[in-house]
Amino acid sequence: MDTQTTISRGAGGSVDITRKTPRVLLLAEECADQIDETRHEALAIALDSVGQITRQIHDGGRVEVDPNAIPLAEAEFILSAGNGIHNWDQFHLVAKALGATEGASRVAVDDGFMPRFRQVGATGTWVTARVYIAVGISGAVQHMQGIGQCDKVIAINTDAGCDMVKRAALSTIGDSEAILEHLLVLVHNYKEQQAIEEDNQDAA
Amino acid sequence: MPPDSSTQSLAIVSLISIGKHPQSGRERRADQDARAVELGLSLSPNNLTVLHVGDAKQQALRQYAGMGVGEIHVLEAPVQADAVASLTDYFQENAPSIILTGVRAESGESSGMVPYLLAEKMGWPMVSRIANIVSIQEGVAEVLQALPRGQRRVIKVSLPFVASVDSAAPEARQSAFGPASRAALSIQTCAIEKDDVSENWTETPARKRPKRLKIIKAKTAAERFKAATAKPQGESGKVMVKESNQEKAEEIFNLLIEEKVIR
Ligand SMILES: Cc1cc2nc3c(=O)[nH]c(=O)nc-3n(C[C@H](O)[C@H](O)[C@H](O)COP(=O)(O)OP(=O)(O)OC[C@H]3O[C@@H](n4cnc5c(N)ncnc54)[C@H](O)[C@@H]3O)c2cc1C
Repeated sequence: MDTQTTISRGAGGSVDITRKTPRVLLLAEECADQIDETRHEALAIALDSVGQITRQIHDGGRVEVDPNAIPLAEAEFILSAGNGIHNWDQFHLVAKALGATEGASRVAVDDGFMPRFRQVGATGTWVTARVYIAVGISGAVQHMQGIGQCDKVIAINTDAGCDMVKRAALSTIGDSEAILEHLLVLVHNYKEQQAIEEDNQDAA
Repeated sequence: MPPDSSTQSLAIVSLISIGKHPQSGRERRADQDARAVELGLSLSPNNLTVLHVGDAKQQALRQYAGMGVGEIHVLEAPVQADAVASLTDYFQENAPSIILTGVRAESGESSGMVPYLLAEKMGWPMVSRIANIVSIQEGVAEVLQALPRGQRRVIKVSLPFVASVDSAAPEARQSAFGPASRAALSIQTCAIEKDDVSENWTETPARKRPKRLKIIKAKTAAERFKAATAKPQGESGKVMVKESNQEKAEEIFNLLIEEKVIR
């Protein structure tokens, strides 16, 4: 866009419309990169008058959603299982306790431990999770393609030399069952602590 | 929401437009509009009006009829006309309790402004991107709004209101060919206001990759050279081998807390 003409995207993204630049625009994400080198101050503006508004919409806040009901591609936090998982009951327990959406490698799916729609990777779902925990997943290229957009990858694996460890921000080398066991205890303690604090707050 | 006696005869209007298949470009029922019809049908099977402004001869309209809607209402208007003017005029006389639309049309400008403009003209509240209507009691609807990353928010809004239906709403039922071809079209004339803003627009097929506004930040040749040859940093992260399993689990847990994914 410039001060005279603007190109906007219409018809569900299938046509470009060239038009006179209006005074108010909503920018598409693709327009420009984020500002990252300068800092900006937010200043309060004093208004001469504020119109009377009667509130017609009441915000009841977020509702709990079952993490496994969130489409895999949209999930923010994924606990993903591979061939290095031997205790599946424990894996599901951990995912539930963490509130993470479940994912899987192709081997875990092919072996029948996880349904096909949970598969992450080139022939599965390309995920966008901010935090991705790969448990017992070696990091084959087909799997890595699927997690290209993930920000923080955490690996739990017995093999310190595997490709997943090279990609991960944090890698813990050891048996998945043992590490998940400790993680489960930590989460339970944390949740209990939280519940106690909430009770105290309610009482106060 | 399962239909219950309180909503069975609630007057609901679902607005429908002509969709466009993303790959083939063929005309079809628009996905979000079809979800709006689905939601309307499940709430008020007896008193749902399915309304379109435009050309009544459009075959794609029949795909909505095939969902079990007996009749499609069409306000006959040229494609270039401003639909909001025709709709406002129509609703002035036939005001329902709820107006449902899609979030964005699949053809035309797709600015997603219709529900907002309509709500403003009617003086009604507008709830964007709803995933479902949970209940309606004593003139107040409890609505689930779709947020990014599959999250949901509860909103209470009093009737009448306008809502745009998100792609997270229940999937539309299939369209059956027989009922689709048998359905009646009720055609009305309506107020027509020419949309003269769009007259001077030129349309071209979308470029694959929109051109970004590029700002070159490097001020010296050395900086540009560095930017061009820099290796992506942070090749590998922290690796814990010798620590106890307890310590490893704690490190993972702390990172999860830091990233605020455990609530
Ligand atoms: C055309 C094609 C498409 C493909 N598409 C996909 C795809 O979309 N997605 C996908 O995931 N794969 C895909 N694959 C398969 C892919 O190549 C790998 O075979 C697969 O990802 C490996 O899965 P894995 O890491 O679970 O198993 P493995 O490679 O067997 O890795 C298991 C890992 O677990 C570790 N481990 C073992 N025991 C333990 C333990 N007790 N505790 C902790 N760690 C342990 C091992 O060290 C190893 O790193 C595709 C392959 C082909 C040919």
